[in-house]
Amino acid sequence: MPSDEELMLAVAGGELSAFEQLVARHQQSAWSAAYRFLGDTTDAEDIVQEAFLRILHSAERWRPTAAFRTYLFRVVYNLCHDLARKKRPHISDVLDKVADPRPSPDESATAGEQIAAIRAALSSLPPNQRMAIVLRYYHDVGHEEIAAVLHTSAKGAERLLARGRAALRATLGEWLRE
Amino acid sequence: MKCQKVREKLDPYMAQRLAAPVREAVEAHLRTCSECRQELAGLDQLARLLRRDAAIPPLPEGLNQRIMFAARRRLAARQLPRTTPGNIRRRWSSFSWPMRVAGAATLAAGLLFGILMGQQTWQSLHAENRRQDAQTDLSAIYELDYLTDAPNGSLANTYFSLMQSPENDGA
Repeated sequence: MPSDEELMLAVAGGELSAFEQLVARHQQSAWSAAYRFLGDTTDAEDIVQEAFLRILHSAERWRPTAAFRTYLFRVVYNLCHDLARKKRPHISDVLDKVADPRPSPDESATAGEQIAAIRAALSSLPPNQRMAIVLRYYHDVGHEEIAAVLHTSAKGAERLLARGRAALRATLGEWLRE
Repeated sequence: MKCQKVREKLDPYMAQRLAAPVREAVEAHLRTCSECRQELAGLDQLARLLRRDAAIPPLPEGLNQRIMFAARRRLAARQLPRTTPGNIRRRWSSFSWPMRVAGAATLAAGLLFGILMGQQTWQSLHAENRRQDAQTDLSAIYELDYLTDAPNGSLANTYFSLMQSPENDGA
């Protein structure tokens, strides 16, 4: 079975079937990262489609300096970041959140509430911390790869993760004490 | 290994990404340091909580096909020649000098032919208009037919004769 990098070289040579194999292999990862970052299925689908099309478009310029998955996550992150910047929450959304604080966990708290709290906490993180957490905890990506995706150093990635974790602990404190 | 150094390694330790000697040094430290053990427990707790949110919506049905359809469409659009100024310039510079001279001469000849044809058409149309004007009966246009009945030598008769004379055709 050809490696991702071999497939990319074939795509650069104009083989659309190689591109199709890459899509089949990686669409789930791209979808998961985009959805966890954005929390919206329609936006995530658009991002995944556009990410693969951009990869196809720039296949001729691609050089195997990093793993294909890292490259894909970087494209997905850039697109998600741009979209999140364009769709900043309206002030009323922010006020709603302030006026309606997260329900405190009690005996009747359901798993659904817990998941909603996790997602709300994640979405409140700055984009680079959010993607660092998503990649680390949901895609099992190492610090070096996270650094490559987020255009930073390994130390920078560690700092992003540490800040993200500290913010999540502060927001999800009560759920953590359960 | 000191606490600060160990804490930097706790996350990769949990992810089992440390080389054996480093992992052993971290474990040796953890056996003796309760604060770092507590830090590790906190990291583990957060990881477990985050992983409770394991299920996400399934991949949209047909996404693969939609991506491939869009890919084929974009590739087809990229292969179509576009008449942008850049493309015209690139295409022009791909020709050899004799071909460029021949092309320019053909273009100039075409333009000259067009101008001459236009001029000829304009002249013939103009002559035709003038001929039609000459044939036009002014007395009928201005409804001066009643002047034909004026007696010879009268002012009305003289005016009518002047109007009918060829000098008034503008020729």
